[in-house]
Amino acid sequence: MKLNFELPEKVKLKVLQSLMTDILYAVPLGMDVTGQKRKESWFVIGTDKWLTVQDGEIEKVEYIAHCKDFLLKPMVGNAYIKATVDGRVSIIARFSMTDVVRYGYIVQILNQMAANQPVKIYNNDNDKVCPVCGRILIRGTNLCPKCSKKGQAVKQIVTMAKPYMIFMVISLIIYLITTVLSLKEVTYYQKIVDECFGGGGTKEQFFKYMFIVIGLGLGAFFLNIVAAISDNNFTQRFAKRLRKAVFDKVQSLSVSYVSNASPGDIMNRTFSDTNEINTFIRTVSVNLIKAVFLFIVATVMMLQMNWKMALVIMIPAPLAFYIQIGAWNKFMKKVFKGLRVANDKANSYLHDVVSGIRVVKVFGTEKRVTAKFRKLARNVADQDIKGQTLVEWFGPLTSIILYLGQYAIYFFGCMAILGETMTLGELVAFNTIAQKFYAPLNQLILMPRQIANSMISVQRVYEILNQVPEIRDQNTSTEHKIEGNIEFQGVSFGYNSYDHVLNDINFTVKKGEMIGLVGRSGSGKSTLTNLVCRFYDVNEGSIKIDGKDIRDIQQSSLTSQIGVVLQENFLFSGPLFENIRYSKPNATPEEVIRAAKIANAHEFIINLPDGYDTWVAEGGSNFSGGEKQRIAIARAILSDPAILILDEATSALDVETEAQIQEALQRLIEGRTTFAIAHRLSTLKNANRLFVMDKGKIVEMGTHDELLKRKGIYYSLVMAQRTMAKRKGKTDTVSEILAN
Amino acid sequence: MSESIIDSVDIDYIDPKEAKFNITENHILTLDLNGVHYPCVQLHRSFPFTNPDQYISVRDDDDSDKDEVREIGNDKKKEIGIIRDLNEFDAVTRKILDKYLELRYFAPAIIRIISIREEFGYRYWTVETDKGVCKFTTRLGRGTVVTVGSGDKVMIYDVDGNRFQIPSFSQIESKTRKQIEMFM
Repeated sequence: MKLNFELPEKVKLKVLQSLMTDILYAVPLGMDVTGQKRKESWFVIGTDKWLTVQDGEIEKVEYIAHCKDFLLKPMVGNAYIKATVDGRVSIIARFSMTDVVRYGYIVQILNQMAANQPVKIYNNDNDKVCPVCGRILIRGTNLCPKCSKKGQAVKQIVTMAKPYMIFMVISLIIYLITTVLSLKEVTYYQKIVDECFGGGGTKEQFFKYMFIVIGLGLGAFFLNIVAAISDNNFTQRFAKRLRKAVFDKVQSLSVSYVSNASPGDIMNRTFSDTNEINTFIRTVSVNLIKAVFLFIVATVMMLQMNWKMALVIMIPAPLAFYIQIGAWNKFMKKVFKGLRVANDKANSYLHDVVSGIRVVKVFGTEKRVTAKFRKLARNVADQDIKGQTLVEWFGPLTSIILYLGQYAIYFFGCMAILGETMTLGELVAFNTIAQKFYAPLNQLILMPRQIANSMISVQRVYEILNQVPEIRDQNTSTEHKIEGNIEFQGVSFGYNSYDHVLNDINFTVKKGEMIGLVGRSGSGKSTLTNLVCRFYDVNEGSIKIDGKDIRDIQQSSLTSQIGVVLQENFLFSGPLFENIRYSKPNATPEEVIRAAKIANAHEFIINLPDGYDTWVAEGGSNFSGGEKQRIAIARAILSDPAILILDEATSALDVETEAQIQEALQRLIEGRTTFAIAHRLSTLKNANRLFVMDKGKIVEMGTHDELLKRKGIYYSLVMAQRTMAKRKGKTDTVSEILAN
Repeated sequence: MSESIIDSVDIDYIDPKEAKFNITENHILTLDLNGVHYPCVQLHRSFPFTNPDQYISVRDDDDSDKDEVREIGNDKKKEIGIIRDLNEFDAVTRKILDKYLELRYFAPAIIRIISIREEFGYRYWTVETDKGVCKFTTRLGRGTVVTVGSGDKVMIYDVDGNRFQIPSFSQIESKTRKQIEMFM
């Protein structure tokens, strides 16, 4: 993170005079404490002072030794630093969210300097900057908008299409041949009309010409089939490659990227955008060339046949072009966008209501829901009518303008025939070619819009393909057979690096130990286990497994040796046994049954009509919470993990099921290093040690008995739960009395 | 018939006559209420879009004990009370509260768009706001330019978590309105 920006010369001079020491850190502010935007606005730290600059002038200077308790306070859309200056609480700087991460580090530095401690900046990496222009890149992307040219994106995508381009070339050549054939056909129409219908021609000649015309037509027909097959080959193969590339990329990206993006967005990029790109490549490589070729050939032929008439029919073309584009930009774009939005709204409302139908029924809000949906549906209809009306107006209008040329042909053609400067056959031929002139014209009119749409998809796919995963194996990363000794050394971590969820965590866990993590929601328990799995990298400190930094262990090697059972476990739709052996795809049926037996799942599975072949519905909706839990445990057992993470694995279950699952878990835990998170403290009774967490720190550590004796947080938690259990007991008795 | 469950919890409304808000020269909002001095308080709107002037939670923001380990469940930084309506306060106090809220919910108001460029899944804006010219970046796609509240206010969220607003969309210059309509 860049914390020492170069100040402009003028400002630098004033700052140096004020500090009377070197500038150690200088970070842009952009506004004053009252939120007013300022030019030349900086926060600067020297050896013993900090100061602020506004509009190029020194605003405030303070000795760091006179200050304490620097604190970063995120607001909404901005943040500030609060500190005690000369014994008085003050807001000393305000800034936009753009620089909030930077100020997170500045606050750490100030606190360390105020406490006379050595300054430790763990994150000494530079901002991600564009290697070409040096501009700071947007978080979560590796693309510099200034230097990444659209051409580059197109080039990369086209390169991916290269192996299949041969299919494209084949169909293009065929299309060109058929175009020539269809134009050739025209000359025979002329001959048929002039020589045969106009008299003078023989029957043989007529049949000969007809034979040639039909032959040319059939030839074009079959060639077109070959071209279409070739075209299809290109489309399918290229789409497959592109989709696979996007999908592979998504799989390789870190949890933080994927959880920040919406599933819908990722699905769109994998399917809709790749489709759009396919259309784009076909449009540019075949349709455009074909249309331009046909357009040029038809134009040349018309000019050769009768240049005056050719010019007459070409005149309305630019007007039609202009009306089409103008109508789109002025009216249609907005209406069709409105239609899309209206459709989206109606669809997502429908999706919401159908998913939450139980809530609708429970509160009896069917009428209200229906009324709202009716309103949304009406909006879709209104927008659609508007759109269609515009299409109905402008479509025919353009056609009429183009057909003005057609009328001109008849008019001037007839005049020419009467004046004997043209034959009837020539008119027929000219007219046929004129038709061919209009077809590509229509296509060319629509093409800019198509290409513009496709470019958005090209950019979106290019962006995802060029993402670099945040969590990566290093060159030095190796496979490691995990024993199970885990050590946290000074680990601090935040999903936003300015807002730490874990602070200076230190502990050592021996192989086979079971650790219970206790603490209220948001205290950092699940985050701690996420770091063990290396879903995220620590901001400060290190995590070691068997003395080896987890960043030096290959990710696949690490995760394959960690088993996780969560409160809500995801089952994929498919056969039940496939779900169990998800963690070990080559497991034998016997192994699957053994795992299920250990997980106390075998009994219920064997009683299902389809046993282990039972089809799991989407999201596992045909299984109860307890059943899903046991399937997940069986899955974890099968992978034989060295480290096990149980995150509220039994909290959602009834007492009897919980007992069964506890028993299963106990078998699973045996001999494995285990982190178990539980709110119900009774479930942690077998833990070797308990870590009590609060506000991102481990505040108590010890066995159940030790912690009870200490009478600290753990003690009060146990007491609170006991009181609750007693109250619950009383309630039960009351309800029993009522029931009787 | 017993009282409704809704009535079983009281809201501690702050009595405008008893409350004395002040902004110190060090820009900290303080409160004196019923003889108690709160050296640092924060205001959180309950309904920032639909009802920005009512139901404002006044919260103790004294960080002086930040390193002490608290007993679980006993959060010191609690709600002091709720302001039912800003209009209940006298003009001077109202001004102080408005000023504080404007800073907490920092969103420069867009006056007009200077330029917009779309590239590689992002939209790059240069706009003139009441706080000066701002440049920011938003993601393409839904949820970055949205109408809120009664529907005439538009919020724009950038990639860093900054917010920009158009307080009255129907009143804004028509060229800017047309441009923004396309992103909503």
